Amino acid sequence: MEYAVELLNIKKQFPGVLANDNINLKIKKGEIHALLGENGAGKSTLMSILFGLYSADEGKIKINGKEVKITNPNDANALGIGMVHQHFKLVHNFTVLENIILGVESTKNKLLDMALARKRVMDLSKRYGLDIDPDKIVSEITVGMQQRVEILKMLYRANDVLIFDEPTSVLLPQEVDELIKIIKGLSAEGKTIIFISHKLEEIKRLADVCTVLRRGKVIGTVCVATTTKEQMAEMMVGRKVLLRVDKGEGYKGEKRPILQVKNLCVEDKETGKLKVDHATFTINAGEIISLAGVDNNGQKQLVEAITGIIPSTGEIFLCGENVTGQKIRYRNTHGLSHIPEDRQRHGLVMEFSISENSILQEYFIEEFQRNGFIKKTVVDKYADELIEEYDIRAGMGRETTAGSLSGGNQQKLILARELEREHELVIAVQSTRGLDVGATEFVQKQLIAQRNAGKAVFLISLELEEVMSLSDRILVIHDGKIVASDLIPSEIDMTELGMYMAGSKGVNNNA
Amino acid sequence: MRKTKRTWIDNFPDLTASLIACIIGLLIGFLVLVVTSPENSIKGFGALLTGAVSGGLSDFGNVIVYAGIYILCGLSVGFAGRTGVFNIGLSGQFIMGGVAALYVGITWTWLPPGIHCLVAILAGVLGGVVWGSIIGVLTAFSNISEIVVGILLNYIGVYVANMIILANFYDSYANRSQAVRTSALVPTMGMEKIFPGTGADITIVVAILLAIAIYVLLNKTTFGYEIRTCGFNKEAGIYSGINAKKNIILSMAISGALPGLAGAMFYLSSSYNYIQIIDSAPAIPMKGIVVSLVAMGNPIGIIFSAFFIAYITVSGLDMQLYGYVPEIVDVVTSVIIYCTAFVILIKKAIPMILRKTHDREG
Repeated sequence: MEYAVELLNIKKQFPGVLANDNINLKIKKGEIHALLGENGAGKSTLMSILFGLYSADEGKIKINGKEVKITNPNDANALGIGMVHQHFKLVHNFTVLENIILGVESTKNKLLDMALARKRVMDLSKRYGLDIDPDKIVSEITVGMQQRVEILKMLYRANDVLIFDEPTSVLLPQEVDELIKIIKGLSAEGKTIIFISHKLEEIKRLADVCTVLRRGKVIGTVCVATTTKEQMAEMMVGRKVLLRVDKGEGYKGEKRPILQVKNLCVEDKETGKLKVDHATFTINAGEIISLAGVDNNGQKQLVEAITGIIPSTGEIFLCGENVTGQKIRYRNTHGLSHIPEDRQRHGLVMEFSISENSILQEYFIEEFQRNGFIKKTVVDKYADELIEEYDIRAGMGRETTAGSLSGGNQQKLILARELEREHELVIAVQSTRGLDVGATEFVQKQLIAQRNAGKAVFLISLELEEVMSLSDRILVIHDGKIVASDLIPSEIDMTELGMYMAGSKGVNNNA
Repeated sequence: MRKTKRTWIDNFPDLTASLIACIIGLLIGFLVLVVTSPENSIKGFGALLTGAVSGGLSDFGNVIVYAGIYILCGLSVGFAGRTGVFNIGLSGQFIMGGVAALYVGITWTWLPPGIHCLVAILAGVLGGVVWGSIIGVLTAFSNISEIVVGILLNYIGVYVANMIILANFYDSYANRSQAVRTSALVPTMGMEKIFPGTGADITIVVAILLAIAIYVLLNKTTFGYEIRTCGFNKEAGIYSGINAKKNIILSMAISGALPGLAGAMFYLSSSYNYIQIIDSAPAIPMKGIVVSLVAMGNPIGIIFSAFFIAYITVSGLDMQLYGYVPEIVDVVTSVIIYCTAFVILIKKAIPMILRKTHDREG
C-alpha cells in the first residue's frame, strides 16, 4: 500500500535541544495515525516541519511517494496538508463563512461570490456531519463549533492529510465524543488523519496506529487495538507508569484544623450578585480536600478570597490565626502556598530566569537578601537544588527563561517554589491541566507526599477522575454555595457527584 | 561545536546589535548627504565623523555637556520602562527641575556658596519628583494612559515654569529669567580649563555614577526585583504580594527625579544660566527616549548611546562648513538617530540571517 506521508530521517535542532533526532514516520492513506509523547517530546515540532512552519535541518519529506520541499504553510496547503492548531487561527469578528473562505475566496467578475461559497461550505458541512451556523460571528460560537470551523477550513481547501494538534484539550467531555465521531467519519471518507495527543484514553478510542515519541526520538509504532494503555504509557515515559494513584501511608499525627473558612462571601462588583455565598468549611492537617464543581461556579473567587487577592466578607483562619483582614504577603508568609490556575499569567514571570522565578515568594527573606541586596550566589544555588530535586528540564540550566520551558516544566518550577518554602496549606488550582501523563503523575505524587507529611491540601479541579482518586473528602460548589462538604470518594459514584455539581442535589441555602 | 555555535547565534549580544544599528544609521545618513549634495558628501561625512574632535577640546566639551543630560534622561526612560511605564513626560520634568533650581539659585541668596548649589540641585530633583509622581499616581489609581498624562504634563510644566519666572525673577529686556547667582553654579572641577568656552562641569560625572547606581538598583536589589516583576507581569507581582501601585508611584518618582536633576544641572551651569520664556517644551530631554531605545534600556549601555548621540549632534554642526544648510544637518543627524533606534529589529533579524547562511553551509 502506498504511503500518504513519509517523513524520513528528520532532524531539527533548537538552541540546547535536539527536538527531532533522526525521525522516521510513515503514514498510510486513510488511516488515523496518533502521535503520542510527553510535552517536549518533539510531536509539535515534527508536525510544524510537515506543515512548513519550521524547516528541518536534515531529512526528506515524501507525499504520495514523491519527494517534496515544504518551506511554508502555502506549500503544505498546495500538497493537500491541513492543520488544526491547538490555539485556533480564526478571525474573531468575522462570520463562520468568512473565516472558512478566507484566502481562497471564490469570485465572479472580481466580486466575492458568497452564494457559491456558501453552497460549497454547506455541502461539506452536510457530507461530513459538521454542524455549523455560517452566519454567526466566530467570537459568539462555542469552542466546539470553532473547532468544526477549523476542520471545514481544511476540507474547503480540499486537504487530504489532516493534522490535529491536541484537539481535545479545549473541549468539554461531550464535545470530545462528538469530535471523535467526526474524525472517524473523515477517515471513512478517505482522509488521512494525524492526531497529536498525550491522552491515552482518546488514542485508544480513535486511532488505528500510534507512533510514540520520546525526547525527540521514535520509540516505536504500534497497532492500537492490540496494545494496552499501560504499554503505551510505558513507551511514552520510558518506565512503568501507574495509571492509578497510590496514596501510600496516610498522616498519623494530630488532626488540627489548618484552614477554616466561615461565612465567606464574595460579591460581584458589577452585578452585586454573590459569587461565593456564605461558604463555610474546614481543612485539617494531613488531608486532601477537593473542591469539585462545574467551571465558573465561584471556585476562582473562593480561591482569590482565601489568598487575599480579592476582598471578601466573613472570616478566614489560617493555622488558627484570623487572617481575614491581612494582605496577600502576610498570608503567603504565614502558612499559605498557592499553585495558581494560570501558571503563565500569575505563577511565573516569563521573562525571568528559573533562578529569578524561584524566589518570587521569598526574595525578601533573610536567606536571600542582605540590606535590600539580593544574594545572587545563594539564589543560584537554591535554583540549582530545585532543578535537581524536581527534575526541571531546562536547556540552559538556571539561566533558562521561564517562557522557554515546556508547560510541564513550568508547573514543576512553580511546584518546587511553593512546596519548598515554609507552609502548612497548599492550594492547588487546576494543577495538572494541560500536562502529560508523566508530569501529571509527578504533580499528583507531590500533592500526596504533602498530605502524608501532615500538610493540608486544597485541590480545585475540574477533572472528576482526579478529584475521586486523590481526595480524602470532597466539597462541591454550585452557584457559589458549598452544597456538599463531607463526601467520601469511596462512598459515592461519579453520577451522584455529578448531580451535586449540577445543583440538583444537596443543601440549598435559599430553601 | 555545532551546538555552541547555534547557542551563540541565538543569544545574539545586545551590544553587537546596538553597534550594527549605529553603523547602519551612519551609512543611511551618508546616503542623504550624497543625494542632497554629491560633490561635498565625502567631506561633509568626514565632518560628521570628526567634527566634535577636529575643533579642539572646546567642541568636545559640548559633547560632554549634552552626553550628561542625555544619560540622565535616558536613564529616566529606561528605569520607567522596567516598571512597564513609558515616561514621555521628560520635558515637563526637565523644565520643572530647571525652574525649581533657578528659584533657589536666584532668590535664596542667603545660602552660603557650596550649600547654595546643593540646595538648588535638590530643589530641581524635587521638582522632577513631583512631576513624575503625578504620572505615577494617575497611572496606578485611575488607569489613565501614562502617555497622555506625560504629554499633557510637558505643556503644563512649560507654562507653570513661565508663570513662576514671570512672578519671581523675570528679566523683561531679554524676555527670560534672571541669571543664576554664581554661588549656585554647578562646580566644574577645572573642566572649563580643559574645555574652554563650554559648559562642561561635573554633570557628566554625576550622570555616569547614577547610571551605575541605577544598574545596581535594578539588577541587584529587592526593590529592583519588585520593579522588574511588576514591569514584566503585574499579575505575578500581585500574586506574590508585591504592592504594585506603590511600586509604580515610587519608580515614577525616581524616573522623574532624573530629568529634574538634568534640568537643574543644565540651567545651573555657566553657559545656560537662565530659562528663556517660550511656549514650547524643551527638546533636549526628549532625546532620552532614543538614548534608552538604542541601549535597550540597559543603564550601562545608556552611557555609551548618550555619548554617541551627543557626538553626532555636535559634529553635525560642522557640516555647515561644506555648504550643508542647518536643516539638512538636522535631517542627517535625525536620520542617523532614528535608524539607530531600529536596534531591536536588528537584534531579531541578524540571527535569522546568520541561521539561514549557516543552514546552507551545514
